[in-house]
Amino acid sequence: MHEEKSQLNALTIVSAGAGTGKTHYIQQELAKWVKEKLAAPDRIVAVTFTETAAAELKSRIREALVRAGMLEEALLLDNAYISTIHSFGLRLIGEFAFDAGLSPSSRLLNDDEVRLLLGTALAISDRANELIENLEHDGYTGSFDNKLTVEEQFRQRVLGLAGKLRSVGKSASPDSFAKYAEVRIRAIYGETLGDRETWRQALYTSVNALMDAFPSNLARSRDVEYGVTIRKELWDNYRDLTRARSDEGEALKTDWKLWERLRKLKSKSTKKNPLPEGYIEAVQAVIAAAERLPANPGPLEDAVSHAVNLLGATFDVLNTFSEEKRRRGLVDYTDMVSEAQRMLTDTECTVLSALLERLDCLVVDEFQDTNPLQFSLLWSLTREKLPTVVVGDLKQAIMGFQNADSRLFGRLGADNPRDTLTQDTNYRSSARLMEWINLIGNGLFGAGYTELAPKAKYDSRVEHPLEVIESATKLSAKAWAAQTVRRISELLHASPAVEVYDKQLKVHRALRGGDIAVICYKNKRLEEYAAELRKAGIRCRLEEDGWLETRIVQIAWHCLSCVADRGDTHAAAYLSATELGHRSLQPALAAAIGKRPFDGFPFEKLDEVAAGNPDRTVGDLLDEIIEQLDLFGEVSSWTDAGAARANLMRLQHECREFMSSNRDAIASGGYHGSGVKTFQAWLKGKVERDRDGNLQPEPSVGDDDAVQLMTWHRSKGREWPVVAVCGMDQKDYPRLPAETIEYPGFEEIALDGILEDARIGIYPTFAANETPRTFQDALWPELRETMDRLLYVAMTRAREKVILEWPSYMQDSTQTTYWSRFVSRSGASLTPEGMAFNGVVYPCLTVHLAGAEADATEHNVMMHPLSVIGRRAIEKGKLPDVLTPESITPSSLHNVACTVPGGQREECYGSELVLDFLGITDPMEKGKIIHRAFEVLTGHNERKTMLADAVCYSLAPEQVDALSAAVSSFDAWLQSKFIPRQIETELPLLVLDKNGTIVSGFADMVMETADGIWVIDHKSDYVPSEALRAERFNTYYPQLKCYVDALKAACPDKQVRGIILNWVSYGIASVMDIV
Amino acid sequence: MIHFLLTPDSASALHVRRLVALSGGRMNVVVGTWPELLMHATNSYILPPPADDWTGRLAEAIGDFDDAFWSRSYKTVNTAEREAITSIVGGHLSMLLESLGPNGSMQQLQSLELKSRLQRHVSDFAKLHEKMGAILPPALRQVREFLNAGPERVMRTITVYRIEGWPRLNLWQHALVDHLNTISSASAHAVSLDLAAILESAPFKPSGRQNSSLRFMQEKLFQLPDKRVLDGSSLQWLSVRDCLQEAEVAAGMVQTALRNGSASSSADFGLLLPSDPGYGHVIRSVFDRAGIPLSGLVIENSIRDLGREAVLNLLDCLDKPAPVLALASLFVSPLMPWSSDAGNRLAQRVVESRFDLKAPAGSGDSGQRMLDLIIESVKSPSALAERISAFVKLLDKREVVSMHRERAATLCEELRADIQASAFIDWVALKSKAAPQQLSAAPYTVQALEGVAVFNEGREPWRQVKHLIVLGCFSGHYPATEKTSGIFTDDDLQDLGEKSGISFEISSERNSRQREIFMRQLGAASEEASFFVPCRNALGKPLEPSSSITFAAVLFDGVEKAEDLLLNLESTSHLEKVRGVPRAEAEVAEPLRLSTEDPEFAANLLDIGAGADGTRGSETPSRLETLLVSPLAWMLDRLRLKPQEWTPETFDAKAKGILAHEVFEHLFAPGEPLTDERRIEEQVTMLLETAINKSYPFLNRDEWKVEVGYLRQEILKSARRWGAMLRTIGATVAAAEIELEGTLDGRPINGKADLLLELEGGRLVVVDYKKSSSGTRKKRMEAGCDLQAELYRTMIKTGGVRAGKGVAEETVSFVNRFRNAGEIGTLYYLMNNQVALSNTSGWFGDIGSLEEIDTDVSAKAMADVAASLRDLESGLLRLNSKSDAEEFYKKKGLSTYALELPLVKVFMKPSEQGEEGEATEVADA
Ligand code: SF4
Repeated sequence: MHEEKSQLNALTIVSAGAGTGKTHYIQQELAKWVKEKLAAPDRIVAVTFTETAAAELKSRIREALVRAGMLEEALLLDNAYISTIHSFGLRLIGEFAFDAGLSPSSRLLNDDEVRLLLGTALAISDRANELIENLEHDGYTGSFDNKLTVEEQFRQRVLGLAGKLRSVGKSASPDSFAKYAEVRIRAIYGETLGDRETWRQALYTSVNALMDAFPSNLARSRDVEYGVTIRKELWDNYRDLTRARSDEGEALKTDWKLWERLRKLKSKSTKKNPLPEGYIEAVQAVIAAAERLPANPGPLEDAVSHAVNLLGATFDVLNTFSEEKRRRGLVDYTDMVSEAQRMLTDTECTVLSALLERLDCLVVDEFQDTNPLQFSLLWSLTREKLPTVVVGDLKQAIMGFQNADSRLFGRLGADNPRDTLTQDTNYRSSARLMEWINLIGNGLFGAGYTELAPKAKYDSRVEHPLEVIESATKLSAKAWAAQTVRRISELLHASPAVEVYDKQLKVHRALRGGDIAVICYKNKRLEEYAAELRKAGIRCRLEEDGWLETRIVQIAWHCLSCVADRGDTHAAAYLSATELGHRSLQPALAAAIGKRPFDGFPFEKLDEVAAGNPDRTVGDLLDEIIEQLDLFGEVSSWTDAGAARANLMRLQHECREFMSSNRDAIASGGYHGSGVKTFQAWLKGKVERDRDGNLQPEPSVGDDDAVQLMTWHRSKGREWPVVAVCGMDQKDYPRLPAETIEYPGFEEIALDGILEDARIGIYPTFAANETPRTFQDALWPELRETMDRLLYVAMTRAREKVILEWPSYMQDSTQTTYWSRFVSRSGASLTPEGMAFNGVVYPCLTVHLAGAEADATEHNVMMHPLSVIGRRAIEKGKLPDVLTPESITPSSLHNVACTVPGGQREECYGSELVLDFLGITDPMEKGKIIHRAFEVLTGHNERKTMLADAVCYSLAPEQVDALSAAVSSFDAWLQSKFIPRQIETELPLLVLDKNGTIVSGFADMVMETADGIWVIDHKSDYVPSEALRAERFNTYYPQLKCYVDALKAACPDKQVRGIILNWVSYGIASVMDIV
Repeated sequence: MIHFLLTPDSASALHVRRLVALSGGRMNVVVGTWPELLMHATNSYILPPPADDWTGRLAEAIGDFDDAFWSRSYKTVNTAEREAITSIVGGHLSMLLESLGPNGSMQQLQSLELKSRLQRHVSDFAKLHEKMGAILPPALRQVREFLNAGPERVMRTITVYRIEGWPRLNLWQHALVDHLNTISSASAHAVSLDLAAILESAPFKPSGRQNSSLRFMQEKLFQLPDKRVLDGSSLQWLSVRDCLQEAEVAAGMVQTALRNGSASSSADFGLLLPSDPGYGHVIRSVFDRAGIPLSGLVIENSIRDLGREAVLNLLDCLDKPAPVLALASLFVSPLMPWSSDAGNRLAQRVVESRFDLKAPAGSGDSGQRMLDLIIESVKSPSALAERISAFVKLLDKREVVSMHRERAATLCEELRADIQASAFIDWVALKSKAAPQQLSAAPYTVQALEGVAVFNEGREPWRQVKHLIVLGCFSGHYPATEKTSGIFTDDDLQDLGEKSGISFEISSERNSRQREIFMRQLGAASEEASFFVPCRNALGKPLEPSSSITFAAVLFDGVEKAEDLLLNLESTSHLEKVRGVPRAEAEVAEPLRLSTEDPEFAANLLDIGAGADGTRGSETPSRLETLLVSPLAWMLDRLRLKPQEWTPETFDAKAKGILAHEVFEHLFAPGEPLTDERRIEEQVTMLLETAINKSYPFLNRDEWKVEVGYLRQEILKSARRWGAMLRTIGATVAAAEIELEGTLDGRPINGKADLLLELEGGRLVVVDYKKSSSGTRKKRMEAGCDLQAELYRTMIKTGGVRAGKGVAEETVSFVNRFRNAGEIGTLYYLMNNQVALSNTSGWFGDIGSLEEIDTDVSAKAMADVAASLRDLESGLLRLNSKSDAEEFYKKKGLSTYALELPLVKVFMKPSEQGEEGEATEVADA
């Protein structure tokens, strides 16, 4: 397809290790192509994995083009497809919606909708309903820690599996997936012996024998006074035995956990806790029978059937789910890719060719993070010879938990060695630090590692590029944090100052908090470091949890509650007891006890807010509350001023989000209505459901002195002069149950058909102690690989210095930790000279900790410096009382205070005009028709026939006659009385008044006579008496006076003679002369 | 005869109006935008009213196609999405017709040689237009009518003045302008040259001082300059955290300039706001507080569509099971015939799953009728139609809600028509019709000669200013960029344009217009310009800087990257280089502390909430358990100070517990056989159903099937085991759900026992069911911290069956027998793992799942409760400490929900192990 245009390589694979300037490479490359006209900017597809990366890439390319003088091209970039892969997919769905039979206005569905649609889908799947009967037996136990019930756990499992299935496009048949899963489970489980019924009988018989011989509960024995633990154990044994025996051993048919417990019955007698004679033998018989569990085919069969049914149910659910989404025009993140992929691969669909016509090249960053489906989407373009560059690094493939599959990148490289380019220079880290990085790279990846040549454009002045904090005794997380923070604090306060290179200013300067990052495996652990840093008086940046519970949000929240429900005494008590009120519980409770109303500040202000219009949105209510109580002013002097204002802003924004969200989507979560309380319920739900939903927004962005805290995962792609790699004692192991994407015979399959060949491996849990381990063993290789990569990512973030925690007390532990993995893989060890890697020693500074020096951090009182810019720097002011308007219209001037000179007289020119227009009740509307009649007919009675058209109302003939008669008599009166030279209707006026205000408007009628000009205005008011008319005249006077002044200004050479008010309903005119 | 000066938007119209007015007062001159021109033309012509209905015909025609490019999508989606498709397709058809001009036709396009996809789209549009009877969309139809009107219909002529490209006109607009001018040139009036000249001078041109960098940027932005400027003394780019800070710093800059005399009036400043809707609010609130007047700010204020919302909620309520929040929302609607307070109380009841509702006192007959019509279900369409009419009639009559009441009435009329036309109730369709709409209140506007001039992105500047402050320079703004269409790409349109000779507007043209506007906005500044770059949006998500900064960066010598232009105001080193930004004193905040001293009162706190007759409020086991955990929580409960929050239906532990209890209550009742397995199975299913209908009707919906199914399994299993256990121990059910009362240290207590069992040998067992597992309960009992069962025992010992509750006489006397004699045992049945824990000693034989704990399981709890009661009596309220939650749970096995209450949480003492004093700081919420 693309042969003719490409002088570009069909495929280039760039393998770019940490710090090799990937983004720079892409930016340069793309700019070059644009320059050489090999690619037009709006015909580039470049995808990355985060919004930020995409935005950065776009602006870098723009920068390069602008620098190169290609402004037109730079401007075109806005239409380029430079985005995340999801946005790319979404854009395709948008642009080709009709071609693919989708809704062109697809919207991202929210969690509530997922729950609703999924719940409905599950309800109609028979296979799902069968599974529900046996959840507990199938190993669903719920999770107390995550507050997860068994049912939710099941839902999540289905969802997770659905995610896996969708990430491989579920293009093969359900049966082939089931078959694969089964074969895989059987293969790993290994040989079984005998049949389940025989084994059950045997166990049942032995239990019976035991219970017959020892029917009573030993724990309650009066003969022996067992120790507490033993007694508990015997209790449990007895309970299990009873259960095993009940219903003729029914439980033993499926309750494998019970089997496992029977394997562990207490069978040893001690002096202190002797078991009765004969008991031991009988118990051992039971144990021996239960020991068949690992070889028993029962658990295997159950696991297989569960896996197969689970897959089946998931397929059912997926089908219903996607149909319903389509009907409602909803997409989720996976759809963005899968629908796009579907339309590009669907042979019936012409999208592929249409799209290729619009594109010149494809660039994929972080390719190692693509999942099979994403791969297939991109590959469908590459396969059609769209010049493609993929950039990635196998060593940094750590997104497997999102179904990313780095094997694809590996395979692409292996298949196309000649198109592969390996970047081997590093621009990030100092030359000395690079030495160490190369050592660990070699250690972690062996032959798979390419040494990087240091090319950073500065010489580091940091004394020790590597520091190790070593402990030979076990330390708690808190103690580790204290130690590492102490070191950081020392570095920050060292004298002479530690100097680092400032990339932006291009100078060496003293180290600041902002140059340092502390990175951990887990977010939770970072909180320990944050606490220690604060104790040491060092500011830090960490996305903290607990947004909704922060005080300012709670205060604003309770204010809203008060406004929505003045009977909410709880909210009132809260406000009265906290910062806006008494800051003490006693007075608030005393008021409540005495049934006294809560009054004074802030309640009177809140009452004011509550008294406003009932149709205000929750956002407007909150804004009013914030303004009335000056909440932003209030928090600006709090110790956590920055965080408080950021948190309050988020609340404001959540209100707007609530109002602008799709109502159906909100209602599907059960949130009906749009009032304050519904909003609060919705927000609570949102915060709880979303994993990151309760994170506090970062309070500041440019704080030079704040240490950055981040997870290893999130640190990918970032860099700092100094990085502390913490929490190396983190354990890891394969979790069960698990599902993984697998490709049987990966080496043989073609990349084209990768999706057809992908399968899901299911790894269940088992009751028998040893069986899960077999399944874990199957998962270990992948996990180990991921661990290596994660270590590599974490350790390559620093430009000049790494501080590494070294829990050497774990040396003899059998558990796998990141530290043990690092040590065993890289062969690193600490020697007095430094860190040794199989003979090569890299010098480092080592701090050996002796004993639990937990409280190492000096308590520098935490200072809370207040921001010097922003709210605190503005003075409170008062708006001027009177302001001069920019412009006015005369008709807006009714009733403005003004002295009326008086002297008007009334003249009757015709008869009363009584008209009723059917369906028009508003007197204003009626007035308009009459006005229009005067405008149209004055001087042109022949237009009578078109009057209905002119007023846009089907007038009855007699109405036309009446109107025409009225106009005629007024006309006649004018003619006879004033002998006009000219009459203009609807005359525009535009002048400046003496204050500089623009006056613009229209006079109903302006009449020029020999001696000057008259201003005429028609009024259709109901003013039956002269007195009323006189009064109303005064009301209108300012407006008329305005016309007069305007006319004077506009026609300086003419005289304004007077004003005529035409009371059209009465055939009466009020005339006022102006002298 | 009117001279009409055409301007691109209302802002520029204001500017031109001022220019004209300054040149002396005028008659016959109008300055305005295209819609205003149309309005004047309409007033000056007499035209028959419009006949055809574009929208209606479009909606009809679009569904008539089977193979048009939209058909597949159209057939797949639901009604709401169909409307979206209709509007997209209709919009594109309008665009084509507009571009074709008054002389073009769709056939013209159809005959072209085009790429197949394009060809198909074009020809489908042509067919659609044909099917619609080739009518024109309203805007074009109107122009057509002017062009066709005969001279007798012209009342007044209009001469239109305009500048080419400012605004850009399409062929129709051109035609109308030409037409109007042709007609007016026939009349005697000549074109006014000075008006033409004024208009010509109106668009803003670079006005910065010669050789200043501001001037350079005004002239050269978005270009490649041949030379570069060195300094930026008249320009600065300031990056701050967010939009609020932008506004605050901007206000500070104005104040500073006024204070140090570098500006003489606020009017010297201009503020350019991005098209992000939130900025108006932020600016208004900050500038008002700073006392700086603004001019030209318009804020659109959306309001709630209360009327339609109430109707929609009503429909939701009538489509049973009624979602609780729909009920609650309706109850608090300002349209209800009762007070907001009464509405809130009703709402709270349903949120707590209490559906026995009474009309609020004082709401009279209409209140009762309204309540009934919301609650009772409807069966037939006709009943529904009636219900809706009745609803409208009962809505509140106050003036403040009149607009909403009328909207509700209108909607109901439409709904009634639909309902009556249908044989069944199509809830989905009705609800979708009732969806609330976007409503706006009258916009907030300020304008004042003294005010800071507010310009808006995408709109013309309207006043010359000295210092321009540009807010919101983040990606997507300055210039704003347009999305491309999926039906016609720019390439398509260009192709179509080349082949047909008609010009279709493509997105790059629109984008370049946006840039030109931005340039004119910049041009309006004569001395300085500051650009604010927010780094985060209000949710804290990062924002990228505006692309204009990249273009600005090339204008400067020594600036390599756009980033280098930015000065971050939060960075101390950057702050040094900033001009005109005021700074506050560098202070350190003093932590505000809340007092966590134990409050003392000069009263007996046990008297709180006591009955009017002076008798003390009776305590219940669960309330005393709260007291055990937190006296404050107990007190809040007594004072009825609990969060009045709403939650949608959730199937939480509480709901499960209530349902399971309810099933057990009836399943294991006096006189029922315990033996029959099958009976248990049948009964559980039936009883669960009844219980669900009573308390949690929402569980009948499909999406809860998994949960209900699982719960049924759970209950069934625990019921079987419980039945078996009862059989084994040979117990007889003496009473279920029975109310007991007695005294504790002389204070009245009462409560409902789940079950009373009679054992052979004259023993009584008080049973409490728990929908949980045995672990923590056992821990609690072993720690002596268990309270509930002991309290029931106490009640029997000190009182007995609660009087007057219709309990059978034998039961009463059976229980009363134990007051002075006989042994009372207590027992928990833990449903989740089917284990029973009893506080008895050697009452039962060996039963695997029944464990006897024969120590005093409540000694500590009873002592603690007694102590707490004494404290309260003396007026002392002991607050919790931060370590309580963990300690209570871990050491005593107590549940600590009470500690989650907001007020309890806030007023916790720092824990004893010397956690930092910080713990009570405001900061540390
Ligand atoms: S970012 Fe949000 S809060 Fe800020 S102006 Fe925009 S809408 Fe408002």
